[in-house]
Amino acid sequence: MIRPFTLFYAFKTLFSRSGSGAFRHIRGAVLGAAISIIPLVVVLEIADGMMQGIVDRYMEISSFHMQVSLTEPDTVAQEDELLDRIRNIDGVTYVFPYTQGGGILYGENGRTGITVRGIPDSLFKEDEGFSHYITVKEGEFDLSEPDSLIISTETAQRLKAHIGDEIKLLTAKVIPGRPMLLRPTRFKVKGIYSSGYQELDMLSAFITQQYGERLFKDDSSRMIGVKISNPHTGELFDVADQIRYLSDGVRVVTWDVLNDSLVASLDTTKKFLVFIMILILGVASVNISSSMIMMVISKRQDIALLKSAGASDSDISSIFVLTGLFIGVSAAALGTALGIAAAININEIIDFIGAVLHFDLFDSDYYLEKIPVDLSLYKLSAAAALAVLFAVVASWLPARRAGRINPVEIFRKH
Amino acid sequence: MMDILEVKNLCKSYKNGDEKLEIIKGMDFSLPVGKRMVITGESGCGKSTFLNMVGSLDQPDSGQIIVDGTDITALDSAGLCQYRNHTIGFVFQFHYLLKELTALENVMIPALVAGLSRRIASSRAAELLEQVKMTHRKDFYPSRLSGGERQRIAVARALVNNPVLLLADEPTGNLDQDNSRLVENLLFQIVEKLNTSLILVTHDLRIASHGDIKVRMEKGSFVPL
Repeated sequence: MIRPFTLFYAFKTLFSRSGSGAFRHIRGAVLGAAISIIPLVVVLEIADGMMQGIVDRYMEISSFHMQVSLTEPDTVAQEDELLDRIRNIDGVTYVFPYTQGGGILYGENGRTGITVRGIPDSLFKEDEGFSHYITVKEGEFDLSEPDSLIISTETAQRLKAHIGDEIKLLTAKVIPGRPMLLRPTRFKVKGIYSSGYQELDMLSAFITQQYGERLFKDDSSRMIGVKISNPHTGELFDVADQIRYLSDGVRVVTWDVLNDSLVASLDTTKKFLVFIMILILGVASVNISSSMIMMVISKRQDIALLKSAGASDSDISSIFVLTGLFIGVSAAALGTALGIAAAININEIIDFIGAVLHFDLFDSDYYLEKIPVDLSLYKLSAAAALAVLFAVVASWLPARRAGRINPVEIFRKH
Repeated sequence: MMDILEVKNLCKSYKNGDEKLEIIKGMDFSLPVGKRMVITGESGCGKSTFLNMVGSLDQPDSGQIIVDGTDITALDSAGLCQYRNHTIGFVFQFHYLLKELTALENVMIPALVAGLSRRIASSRAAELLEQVKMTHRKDFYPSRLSGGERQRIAVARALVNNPVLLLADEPTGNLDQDNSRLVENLLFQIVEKLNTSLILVTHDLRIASHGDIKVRMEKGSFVPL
C-alpha cells in the first residue's frame, strides 16, 4: 500500500526548489522513454489508416463490396430480374452487371498484363465509392464509346500511352476441342486515372460493359457488382444472406473473402511493426531502470535516515516505484503528444525527408500516395498505458533494492 | 523508578575474515526513565554498535533489549518500524537532513511516517523548531544552513514524535566548539523539559559530565566513568 508520506517525499524529491531536485537525474530517462513512444503511436495511428485506405480502394474499384453470380444462368431476363430484386434489399446502394477477364495491353511502345473490367458507363457517375477513389489525371472517365479504354497512370507510363492513342488488348478465346485463339481488339484511350495505390492501378483497366461481354463470354466472367452503405459492418453479411435467399442458383462472395490474402498480409505487417515498436519501448525502459539505479545510489543516506525514522522496506520501494510511475506518465504524455503531431503530419514529414535526402522514403508503388491517419483514443490510451507499465516495471527492481538497503551499513560508511 | 531500557546478556560480534571480533560480551544494564546516560570509549569499542542495537538498526547475536517494556529483539519488521518511529529518536554525528526538504519539512518527516496529517505534522515540527530556536530558518533548505543549525534541525526531527528514548551518536562530533556547546546545551535542556531519556555517545569528556549516568565502554561492557 502506498502511504501518503511516500507520495510527499517522492514529489519533493523530484520537484524540490532547493536546486537539488532529482528531476534533473531522470529527465534523460523521461525524454528517452517519450521518444521511444513516438514510433509506437505513429505506427498505431497510421497502420490502420493505411490498411483501411488500401482495402477500401480494392473493394470500391476492384472486388466491389460483393460479387454475385448465377451458377446456372438461363437468360438475360433472369439476370435482370435478379438485379431488380437485389436493388430492393435494404442497405444496397448500387447494383450493376459487369464482366471481368485477363489480357495483355500492348501498344507501339510496350505491353503489360492487365485485368479488364467491362463496367456500365454510369458506375463512375452514380457510385460514390467508385468515383471517390478514382482521380482522373488525363482525359475523362468516359465509356460512352464502344472502344473506350480507361487505364491507370502506371499503365499509361508502361505503354507510353496518351489520351487518344490506340491500344490493343490481347485476349484468349477458348473453343472446346480447338486450340486457344488469341484475339486482338483495338481500343482508344479515353481516360487516365489513379486510385492512389499503384499496385492496384497497374492491374486494372476499364472498358464498356457491352465490349466486355463480347470479349469475355464465358459464364465465370459475368458478374453482378453490389455496393452497400456500410461494408465494414455486419450489414455486409446480412445483405449477402438476403441475396443468397433470392434464388437457389445465386453465388455471393463478399469483399473480405475476395481480398482475404491482402487483408491478412497487411494485418501481419501491422502486427510485426507494432511488435518492433514495443521492443523499442522495452529498450527505453532499460534506460529508466539505469536512471533509477543511479538515483537509488545517490539517495542511500536519505533511505537510511528514513528507515531510522520508521519507514519500512515497502515504504522506501514505494517512493521509487512512484518515481518510476512519474517517469512513465510524463513520458507517455509527452511521447503521445509528439506521436500524434508526427502522425498527423506524417505525409509532410515523409515529403520533407525525401526532399532533404533526395530520396523516396516510401515507394508509392507499394504504399498509398498519401498516408491516411486514423486517430483512435483507444489505441492512444493503450500505447500510453503500455509506456507507463514498462516504466513501473523498469523501476520495480531498483525500488526493491532501495527497500533492502541496510541503514547501519550506510551510517557506518559515513 | 521504572526502567526505560533493560539490556540482558547482550552479545554482538562481527566476522573479520576468519577472525570473530566480540564487540559486546554478555552485557547486562538498565536505564531508569528520564535519565541521561553518556557513553564514552575508544573508537571501535562498540559504542555505536550498542546504540544501533538499541535503535533496532542492528541485531544482537543473543540477549534481550527491552525498551519501555517491549522486547525489541522479538519484534517483527513491522513492529521494529513502529518502534523506531514512535518510541525512539535518533541524532547522528552527521545531520542526514534531506536536502530537497526545508528545515520544517525535515522535522515533519517522522511525523508523516507515523501517518499524521501534514497540518498536524507541520504544527508539531514548528513547535520543535521553536524549542531549538530555528523558527526563523524553517523555510531554509539544508544547503543554506550552518553546521550547527543543521544539527539543531536534526535534534528537532528526532523529537517530533515525542519519543521516550533519544539516541545520540556523537551529535557534536562534526561541530566547532561554539556550535558544539550550543547543540549540547539545547539537547540536554530539551530532553529534561520533555522528560525524555537520553543515551549519548561522545568522545568529549566535558559533554560526558552532563550525564546522570556516565559510563565507559571497555572490552564489550560498561564500566563507570
